Amino acid sequence: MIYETLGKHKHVMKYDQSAPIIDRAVLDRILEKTWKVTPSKNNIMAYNVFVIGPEHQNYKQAIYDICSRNEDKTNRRNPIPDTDKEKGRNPAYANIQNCQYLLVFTLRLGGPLNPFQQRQWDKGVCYDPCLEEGLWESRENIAVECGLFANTFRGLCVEEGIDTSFTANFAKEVELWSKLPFVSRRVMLLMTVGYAEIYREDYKAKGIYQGDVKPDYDRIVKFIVDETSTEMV
Amino acid sequence: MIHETLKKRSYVQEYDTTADIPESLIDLLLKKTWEVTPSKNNFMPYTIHVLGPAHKRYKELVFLNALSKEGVGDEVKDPLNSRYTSHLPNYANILSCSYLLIFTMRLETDPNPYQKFLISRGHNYEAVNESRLPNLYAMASLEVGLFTSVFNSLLLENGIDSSFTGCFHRKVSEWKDVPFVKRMPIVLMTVGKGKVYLEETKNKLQKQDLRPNYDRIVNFVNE
Repeated sequence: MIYETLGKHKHVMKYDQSAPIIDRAVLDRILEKTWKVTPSKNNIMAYNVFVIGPEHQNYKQAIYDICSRNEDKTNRRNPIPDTDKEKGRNPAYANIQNCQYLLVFTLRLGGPLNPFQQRQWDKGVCYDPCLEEGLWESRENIAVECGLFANTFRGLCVEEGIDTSFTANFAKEVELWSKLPFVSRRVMLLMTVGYAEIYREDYKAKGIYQGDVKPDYDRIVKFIVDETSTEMV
Repeated sequence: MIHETLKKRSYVQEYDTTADIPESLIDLLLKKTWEVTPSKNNFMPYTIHVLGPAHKRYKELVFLNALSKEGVGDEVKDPLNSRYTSHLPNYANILSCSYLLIFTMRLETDPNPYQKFLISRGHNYEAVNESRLPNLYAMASLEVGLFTSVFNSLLLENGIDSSFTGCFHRKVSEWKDVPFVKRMPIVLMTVGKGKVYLEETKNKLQKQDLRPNYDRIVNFVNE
């Protein structure tokens, strides 16, 4: 069942701005269900999910600009000039501008400790995400947890007929997010929510994105056969 | 439906070592997961190394790696003998699981035709660049979170348990006994049939080990 549900998920290139607005209470309920069933190392949940609603178009535009500048910066490392920038882009993250809700996942300093964590702490156990330095060093673990949360949320949205998409092209430096007063720590993920007008698949049908397939299964999953297996991947 | 399935998840402290989970089923569920897990620019910059029931030695080595990491992290010389005299650490489930999945970083050496097309038009991707691949570590970790979330759900639908371990050395140099780990590890995932669940062993204080309230994690922006 879950396979079939998630199989319906498609990246949205453009959200339908004439579609009815998803009630905030609906989104709140889905997020709370997600929160309930998403595991976290030592129950710290060292991340925040900021929900930017339909009324905050200014924030969405500011985030789109951050993404666009980040793409410029990244592509400047390629000695070949960025042809698509010159001609005018239609990036996958343009959906930020027309989504209903935009979720911004950021790091969060862990704590205050619950009674069990406090006793452990008093016995010498260290919960890294509760310390500034440790939070930074734990960011990959926290990224995994953000992925767990985001995927569950995606699945629950599919069940409700709501579209979502991910964006990972954004600036990592917090100072570049100064137009977003609530972003005070590193951003981990952006997730758009709404009802689709155009899917990426629709472009594929027109011949755009041809050949853009994920790596074959056998290149991702390796069953270790014997103890001498040393394949470099 | 997804919520009902995920509610069944419970952290496994010890797996049933007599359980017989066919490799073909794990392979099928991993394949389904691969099919429905999205990836930025379709790179999937990670590899999943699957250790089956036969690989006890590797599992022991990975357990020792986690133990060593705990010792270094908390500045405890011998955590097994100083901390775990009455019980084993949670990640001791590595020793009893049927399958251990080790997720590591992966360099893309053969971009797909569309990726090649974009590179020729001035796009730049860390996933294909050996020296810049480490910059992708956090994003690859997030994608692994997406992947493992799907896999965990499919396992639950099939009555199979799984648990995560994030306590291990990040430096590849600490993994030289496990020769296929050639790039930075991202997460460990144990798979099997639970014999002892963490919930069952909790004392009164441990039962107060609750996650932060919903309102502390999710913030609707009002300003």
